[in-house]
Amino acid sequence: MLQALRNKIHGWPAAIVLGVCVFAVAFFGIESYFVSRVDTYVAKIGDHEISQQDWQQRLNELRQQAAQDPRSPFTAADLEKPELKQRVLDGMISQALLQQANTDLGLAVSDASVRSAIGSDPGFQVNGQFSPEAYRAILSMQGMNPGMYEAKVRASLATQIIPEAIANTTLVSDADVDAFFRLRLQQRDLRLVELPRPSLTDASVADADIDAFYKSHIADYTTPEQVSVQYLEVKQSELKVGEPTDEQLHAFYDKFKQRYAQPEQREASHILVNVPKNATPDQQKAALEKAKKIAAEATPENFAKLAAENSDDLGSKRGGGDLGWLEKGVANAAFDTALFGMKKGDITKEPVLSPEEGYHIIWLRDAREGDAKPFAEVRAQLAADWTKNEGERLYNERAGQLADLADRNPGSLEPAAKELGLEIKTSPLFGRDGGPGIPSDPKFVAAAFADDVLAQGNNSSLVQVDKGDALVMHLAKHNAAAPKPLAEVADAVRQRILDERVDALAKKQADDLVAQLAKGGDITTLVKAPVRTLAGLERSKLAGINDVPPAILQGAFTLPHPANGKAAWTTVQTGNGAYALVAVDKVTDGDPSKVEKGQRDALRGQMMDAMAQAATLEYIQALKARGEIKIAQDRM
Amino acid sequence: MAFDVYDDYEQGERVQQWLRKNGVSIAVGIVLGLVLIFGWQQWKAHRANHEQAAATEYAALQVAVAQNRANEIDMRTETLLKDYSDTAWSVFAAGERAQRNVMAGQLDKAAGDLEWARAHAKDDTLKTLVDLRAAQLKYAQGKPQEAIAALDAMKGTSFVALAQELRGDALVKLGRPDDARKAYQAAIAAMGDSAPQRGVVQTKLDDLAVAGKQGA
Repeated sequence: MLQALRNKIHGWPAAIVLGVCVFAVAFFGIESYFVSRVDTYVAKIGDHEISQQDWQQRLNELRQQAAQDPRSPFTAADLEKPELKQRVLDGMISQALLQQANTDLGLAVSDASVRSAIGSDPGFQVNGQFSPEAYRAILSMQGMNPGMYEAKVRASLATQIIPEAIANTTLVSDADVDAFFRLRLQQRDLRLVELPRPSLTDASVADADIDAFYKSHIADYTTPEQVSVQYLEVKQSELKVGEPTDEQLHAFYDKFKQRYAQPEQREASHILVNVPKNATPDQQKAALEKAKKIAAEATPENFAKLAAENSDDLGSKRGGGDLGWLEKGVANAAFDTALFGMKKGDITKEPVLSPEEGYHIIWLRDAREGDAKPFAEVRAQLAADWTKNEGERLYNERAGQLADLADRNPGSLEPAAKELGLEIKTSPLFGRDGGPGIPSDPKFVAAAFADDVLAQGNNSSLVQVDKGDALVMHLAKHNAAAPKPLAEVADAVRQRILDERVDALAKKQADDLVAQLAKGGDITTLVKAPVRTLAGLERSKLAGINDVPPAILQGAFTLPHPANGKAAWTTVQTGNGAYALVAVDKVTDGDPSKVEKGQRDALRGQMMDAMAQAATLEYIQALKARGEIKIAQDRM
Repeated sequence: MAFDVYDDYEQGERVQQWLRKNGVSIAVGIVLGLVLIFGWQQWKAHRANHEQAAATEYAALQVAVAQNRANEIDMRTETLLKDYSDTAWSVFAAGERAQRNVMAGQLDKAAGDLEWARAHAKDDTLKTLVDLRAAQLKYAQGKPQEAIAALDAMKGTSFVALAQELRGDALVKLGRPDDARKAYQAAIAAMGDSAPQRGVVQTKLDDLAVAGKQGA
């Protein structure tokens, strides 16, 4: 048939048919490239995706870290804040970028480094030596095998390759160290005058000025939005449970019997003759015969010796086959049946076959009958447990009813109060940042300012303020943010205007003085206040000086050097609208040659660390600029 | 000329004839393809081995450095520079030798190391970093003018903050405080809030204060 087709199809119809076929085949499925697929990444760096799973895992690690380490700089709650989340994600992106850069540069972690990192981890050491047993034990506890752990170590070492290489190639020359010491040990001689605060000659303020100031600073004279709410509270501690009756206690006792009873226990030893998983009939027969022979020989006297010589149970073999005290259900079913069917002192005549392990010869050495404590003995304990249980039950029931009633009558708390016999309490007024008393609880405040309570005037849903303490609230009073009337604040406004005038005057006075001094005026004649001199002020030793305003000390090293040997006076604001005039008379750079070698080396080390860190940050920045990074904020 | 006009024998003949004519090229093509595929895999395996060997050598160098064994350090650095000059590890090793030479006060030797690193760095960012280090070395050698020229020649937009800080240092040396101030300001502008060099650069900037602009 194909031959026939081939013969008949010629010329342009053939070309068209073929064209259609080629088109269909070539472009079939291509639409999947255009239709956007569902992205699930939190961030995408080039081709590498940080999945939501990776992201949650990292957050969980940090939460654990915060919970375990009391000195941790952040708490688990901080991790919910967007800015901290962003920083965590930035860290993950940096790591991914560094790993990609490794690939681009052909840098791989050597096997030797992985080995030495694992070998020197103190967590895997016993007596200061790497212990393979401890290593495997710790890994299996974390559900990992050595391959997985090595990959993890390799990945974490990989992100350090470039930062370490940058640190190891950082150059800090003697010239750099000298320059730094010149600045750090620099000494400055100052003259300073603290100007007294001027007083106003005219202390009257026009009403128009007060009005204008009030209007332009209205936000400062506004009471914040406040609410007061009515609420119904259910507290477990206030619920009366009452004394239990004997009947109730009996029922409770029957229900939780195992709590008050000691189960039946048996002390046993055994000898195991192993039958391999897929044993041949011959092997099985040989095992049975061996077991029978041992069973025939075994007496209480030689049991331990027989066990030590013959048992295939490595765990109990050395202890003469001792298994200790066993409860029902601890061992496998066949073993259990046999053990609990024996009499004290017996040794099984016939070996017991458990399908998983093989043949057991069991010696029941001792037995304890189940010791169900009699009711009378545990009555006090029962009563306490019952009361606690009943209290929780009652509380949950009442809280449930409260939530339900409040929900069914959203407009008022009255029906719920009547039905449950609760008193409607009213909170004081409080703002969004809470207040004393019950509004100090942030959950309470959040519920009060939530949309359904504040805007819609409905009952809130159940607010669990504490364990065993829940409430439902309803808006009682809402004071919108309101400006205080001018009459109430006029005096305060007047005082502020006067203060600001004095501030302006003080500044003008200081600036005028500086201008006059610059023209060659003499400080002692221009200013009545005493001129103080501070000689040999050193940048790194400012902390001990208490009699000079901190603003002057901070400013001392940001003032200009004396130009052409002439000091220039500068105004420095010393806080509270007061000003001082300060002049730098002399600047003496530090002398690096007087620094001890040890101190010099230590400083060079610090400088190298800082430079290395700065270079690494900029390296990562360069990688970021080069690659394409997408962040899905909504999935964070 | 349709194929079915021939009988079976003729068809067989023609196929054989065609094969005789083209058989060699087909065989050569298949062999060439196989050689390409296996060769590529061999090459990749070889590269991976080579890189792993370089990483091992570099790790051994780090151990030697930590234990301060001078002879071994020299030997391993030489090996990395000679046998693994096509890897980034060799660039690191050269840079580290430059660091040791700077610490020992042998700045000219350090310059040679950096030149080697510059010539063998393939990655742009790495190259820029080496350029920056070379400029730092010029400054350390007391050649601020050349340091500035080296900074001008630096390609790319990476390491802006460190480069501007160095430019500021060099300009101070040249007695151009106004330009230096601009460079330090640019360095701070290029830094993040928690950048480790921020305090240092701010101190350098404060020391250049002039009347009316203090505390810039």
